[in-house]
Amino acid sequence: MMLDNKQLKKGIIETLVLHVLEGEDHYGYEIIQLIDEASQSVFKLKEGTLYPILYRLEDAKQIESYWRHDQADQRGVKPRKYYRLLHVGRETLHSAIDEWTLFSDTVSRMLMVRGGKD
Amino acid sequence: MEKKLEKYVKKVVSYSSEDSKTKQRLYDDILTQLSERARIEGVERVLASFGSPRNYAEEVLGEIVKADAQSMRYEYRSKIMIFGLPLVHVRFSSRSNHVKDNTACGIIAIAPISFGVISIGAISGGLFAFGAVSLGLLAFGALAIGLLFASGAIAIGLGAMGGIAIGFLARGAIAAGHTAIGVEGDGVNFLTMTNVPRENVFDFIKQSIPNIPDWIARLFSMGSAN
Repeated sequence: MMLDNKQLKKGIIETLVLHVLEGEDHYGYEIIQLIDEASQSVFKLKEGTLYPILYRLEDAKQIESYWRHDQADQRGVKPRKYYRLLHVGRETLHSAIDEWTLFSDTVSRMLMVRGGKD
Repeated sequence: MEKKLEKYVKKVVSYSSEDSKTKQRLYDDILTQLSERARIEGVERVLASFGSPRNYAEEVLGEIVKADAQSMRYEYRSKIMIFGLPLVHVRFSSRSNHVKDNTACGIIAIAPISFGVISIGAISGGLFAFGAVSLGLLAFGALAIGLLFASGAIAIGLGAMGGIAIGFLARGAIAAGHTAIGVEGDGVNFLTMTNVPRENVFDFIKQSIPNIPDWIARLFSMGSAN
């Protein structure tokens, strides 16, 4: 199932990007693939969605980019642009996770009850 | 093969009207992505799968291109340079409030804030400045301050013409200066202008400032009764 609600999606994508980068450094397209796989295609991002988010996070010093030459491609292959999570980004991620947990638990609990009453 | 990819990505990025920093970031990210895919699938196959650079820009970067279209951002900078300045520089941005994104500098400059030999903008400065607020050798605008000549609702200059005109030679509804012509105002030499024939205004200016060229005296006499 695809998630069509853009507003709902927009609010959480930054957190998902930070989360993906918490484990390991990745380049842009890898982030798209990882989010696609982990969400079982519920979150299918286009580059046009991801890149502005990356640049916003980079400007906010939550992540930074750098060029990396992987061991495997030493023969004339250009380095790739990777993104890594910074301290500010890690703090933002953890507080976003706390907020999301509270939000989703509360909404789930409320939706389980008909008419909003016990 | 890398060159082919680079050329392709350069073209893709050219369809975005982001600032140069963002364009560079897009270029780096897209090139990284395509290079990685090309390493596995081959350059030709990757490029074929994306189609033309325009297709790629519209399909894959759709949201950026769309946002640009909605933001009404425009910049034109002519390739011809004169004294290090572009011959023509036009710049508008409804997206950004940054002064830089709304400022043009060129021989002919058009922007909300413009500086040039000929500058047109809300705030303009230059040799010939036209704008709501203009400052120049010759300035025209709601508020015009001209070193030699100013014309506008409020005009201040060596020669000034306007609703309110202040200058060595001033003409306006309210005029003040060494030689002033107006309905109201003040000056060392002041002519109250109510149905005064053009020739009388001309003579008055010539008498007040004997060395003034005729064409300037004539300019300041224009609009008077025949």
